[in-house]
Amino acid sequence: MDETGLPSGYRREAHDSVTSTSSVVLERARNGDPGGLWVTARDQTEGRGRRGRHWTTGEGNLAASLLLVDPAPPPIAATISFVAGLALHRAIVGLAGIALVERLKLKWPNDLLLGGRKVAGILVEGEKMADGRFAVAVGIGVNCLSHPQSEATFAADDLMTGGVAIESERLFAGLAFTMADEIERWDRGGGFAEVRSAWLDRAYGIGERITVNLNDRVIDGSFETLDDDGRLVLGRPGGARETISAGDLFFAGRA
Amino acid sequence: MSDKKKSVDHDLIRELSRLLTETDLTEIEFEDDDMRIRVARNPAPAVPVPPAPPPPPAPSAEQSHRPATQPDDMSSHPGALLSPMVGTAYLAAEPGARPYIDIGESVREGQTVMIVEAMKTMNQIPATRSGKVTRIFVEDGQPVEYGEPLMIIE
Repeated sequence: MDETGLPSGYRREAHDSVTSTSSVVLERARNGDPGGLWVTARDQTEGRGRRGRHWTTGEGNLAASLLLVDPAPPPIAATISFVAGLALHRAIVGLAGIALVERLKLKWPNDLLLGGRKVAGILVEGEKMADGRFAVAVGIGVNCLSHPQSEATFAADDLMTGGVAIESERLFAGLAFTMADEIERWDRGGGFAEVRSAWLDRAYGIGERITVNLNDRVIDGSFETLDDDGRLVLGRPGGARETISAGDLFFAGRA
Repeated sequence: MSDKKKSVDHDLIRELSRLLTETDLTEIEFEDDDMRIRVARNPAPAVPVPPAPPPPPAPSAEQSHRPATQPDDMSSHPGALLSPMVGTAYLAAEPGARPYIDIGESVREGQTVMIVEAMKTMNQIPATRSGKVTRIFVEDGQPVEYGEPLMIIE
């Protein structure tokens, strides 16, 4: 740790308002940034979620994106999603106390649920630069003090309403360390087996009946586990197994 | 691979072919430590398959929903853009938005032509060469495999 309060090898740009913290880090990458750069903002005018969904950063919430350059070959880099989810879970539990693990769970592939309601979202974007480098923006949004009331596809909440009081700046300070730690454990993808195991320990809904909304159809089954690449293994009625790499999950009989 | 692996076991293939006809199956796959032979009747002719690489471990939900015509033979096309990963292909940045590229349009090397999503990681797929898009093999939201041809740029 140096005078910036960040783990060594990391830098930070803190903004009041940006379009999107991930847009900013990708722009920095295009201009030659070597990676290890965090961009945070109190407000985002064009925060985004999966498939063009808007992400609202309410006052007092955390919006942070980490730029990684050539973190792993592109097919393996996708598993950074789990690294980020795990790091965020650890950061919050570290600040709130271990008892929170009963209520704070990771939803495949990387949302964070408190009491079954979404309190944080992660979106990873990869882009090949003109100079051949592969830039990855790990975007993390956490509802610390407030959450959007509508437009969500999954019930939302915030940490404060859920009884967890963590100020966004403290959360960022913790996250910067757990993220650096988990990236080290991940080891450019070589350590994914350990990450997967730690992720499964904190997973929401293993063994439960789930519905997966794919782009063009909906399937259901039992959430069995993750495969070695992080894909969701779904046990279908009748005994067949299917693996899923992209989709929205819903849990039967839960809000 | 040692030299002996290069010679094809013709007797074995004949035996498998006979089994194929007898059992009225369309495909038989035989595998031992260092080789795998797949014998299939229509649509594909009987072909020996090299032992590596191994196939994906489990059938995927995505595979079962793919169009019947596969552009597998296009993967060696010099203008083929191949998927760098397993995932879901998107032709536009978001639902309803204009596609990154349409057939007949020109692209420059490095330009984003689609997105492949895996585990909520949205990977922008750049054109690997400049030219004109002559074919697009995937539909918006379609699952793609590693190395699958996405489009042809000529």
